[in-house]
Amino acid sequence: MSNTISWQESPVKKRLEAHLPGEIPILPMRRYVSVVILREFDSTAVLTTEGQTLDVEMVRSGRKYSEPISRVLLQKRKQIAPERRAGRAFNRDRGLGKKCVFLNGMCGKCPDCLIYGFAATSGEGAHRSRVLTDSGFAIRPYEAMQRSITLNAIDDSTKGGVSGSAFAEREHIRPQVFFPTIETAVDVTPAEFLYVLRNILTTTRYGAESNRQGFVNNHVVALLFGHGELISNLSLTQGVYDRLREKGGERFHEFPLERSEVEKAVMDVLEEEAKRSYLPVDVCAGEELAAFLAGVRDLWRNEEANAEWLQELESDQQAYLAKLK
Amino acid sequence: MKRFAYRIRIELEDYLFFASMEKGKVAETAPLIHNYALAYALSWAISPYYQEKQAPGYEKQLKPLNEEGVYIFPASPLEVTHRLMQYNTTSEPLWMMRPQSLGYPNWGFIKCLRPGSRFETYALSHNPLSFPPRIRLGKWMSQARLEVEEVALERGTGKSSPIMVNVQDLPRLPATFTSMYNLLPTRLVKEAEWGEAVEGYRIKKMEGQQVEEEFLPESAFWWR
Repeated sequence: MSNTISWQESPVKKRLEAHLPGEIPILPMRRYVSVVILREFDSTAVLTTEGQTLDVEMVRSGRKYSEPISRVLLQKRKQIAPERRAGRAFNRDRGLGKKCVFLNGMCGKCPDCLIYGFAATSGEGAHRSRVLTDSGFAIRPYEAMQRSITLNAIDDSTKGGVSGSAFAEREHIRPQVFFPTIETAVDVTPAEFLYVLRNILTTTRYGAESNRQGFVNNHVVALLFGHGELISNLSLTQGVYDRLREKGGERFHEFPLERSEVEKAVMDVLEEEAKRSYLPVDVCAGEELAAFLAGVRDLWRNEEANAEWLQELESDQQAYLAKLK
Repeated sequence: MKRFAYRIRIELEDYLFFASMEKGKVAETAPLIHNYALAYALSWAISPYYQEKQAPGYEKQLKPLNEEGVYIFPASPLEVTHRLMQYNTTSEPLWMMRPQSLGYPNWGFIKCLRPGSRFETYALSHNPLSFPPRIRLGKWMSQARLEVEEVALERGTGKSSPIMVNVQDLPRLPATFTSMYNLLPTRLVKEAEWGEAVEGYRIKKMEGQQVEEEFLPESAFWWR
């Protein structure tokens, strides 16, 4: 065996090829690959749509324990937007999509437009998104993980001490909050899936004021291949809640959670759900997933393999654009 | 001719949004699910990923379903709660500046339906059907869970129907109705009554311990 790493020969591509289409279909074939991600906030973060207060929704705490609790939300657009931006920055760095501008004029030809979708604001044309997401729900209740932080801008001059020019309070989530979420790519080619995965693994900041806070670790827990979606984020969070409460008792949510326990609970829920599924689900997790991600790391760190992958991404999409004409 | 009927309960597992009405800065979601939306969500009707023109193809995409002998009615709300949320958009350059107005909204409010909201509808079919456990709906492709139960069905006639029906799909226009939802692409009405009896189906469903009967008028996608 030689040491050269190639995209064409890589086990990563082989694993993806077994389930994903070789070319982008014009009509849906509904071949799904879901990335189960445990999003862990490492710093305080602002997840609001209205400014002052966190986005909160009252939902059932679990599926077994059903009393309602208020949960902090990670809206779906707050997950996908930073990831798209990561991808678009990557494209720009490669000299692609320079003319593709959010809001004013989407080009309709770059990987971002073709995978995540676009609607032309000038001229005609629209593409549906092939990446599906859901709002993420925190596991523990709002009260346990919320803190109001006051901002107080003090005058910098020698007079000093004059406050009141900017004085406000905003709700933040505390560090070490987990959002179990699933992102599903539909009818993407292996090269396109790797683009989506790259965006997930390289995006580190979510929420408002992300130049200062909102650092997130995206832990991939499992990949699910199949012809349907296994579970929603809300059900997943509720299933995880049940298991953690069973183990940790009624007051388990008073302290930050242990990541390994949350991951185990997520896997438990997925396995139970996979057993109940009518259609077969191929779950890639544990050691197999670790090997897969190690393979991905090798690809991206190797200049030739990386170039080979990007070449295929481009040829997949060029072939699709040619089919549309 | 339909031989099978299914009662379908839909429960939202995320916020559902589609623009039924736009009132200034607020876009509102009506408390219902249009049956054409359901036909696409169930992947009965299929539309391509890329749309060259932003024009709907309902007639072309839905009419083949009539030959397959399947139909689904619009879903009525059993329990619905709303939430108003704000959205705003940010541009990508590091130096943020706002040039002239874009001509379409870059911030505003959305009145959407909350997770936990529930709906009910019926599907009729010539052949037995199977349903996915989950579907995605609306502008945000939000997940919803389905619970499906087969109910007894027999052919019959009736003068009124309690469920929500799609005016475009009815062979005969009702004389009266209680509420009308005037939204795109077609109008939906509830509790329609006809001057004389129309063709349709009687279904028997269990409501707790009791058997209840309901009349569903004969309908087909894009009949008029």
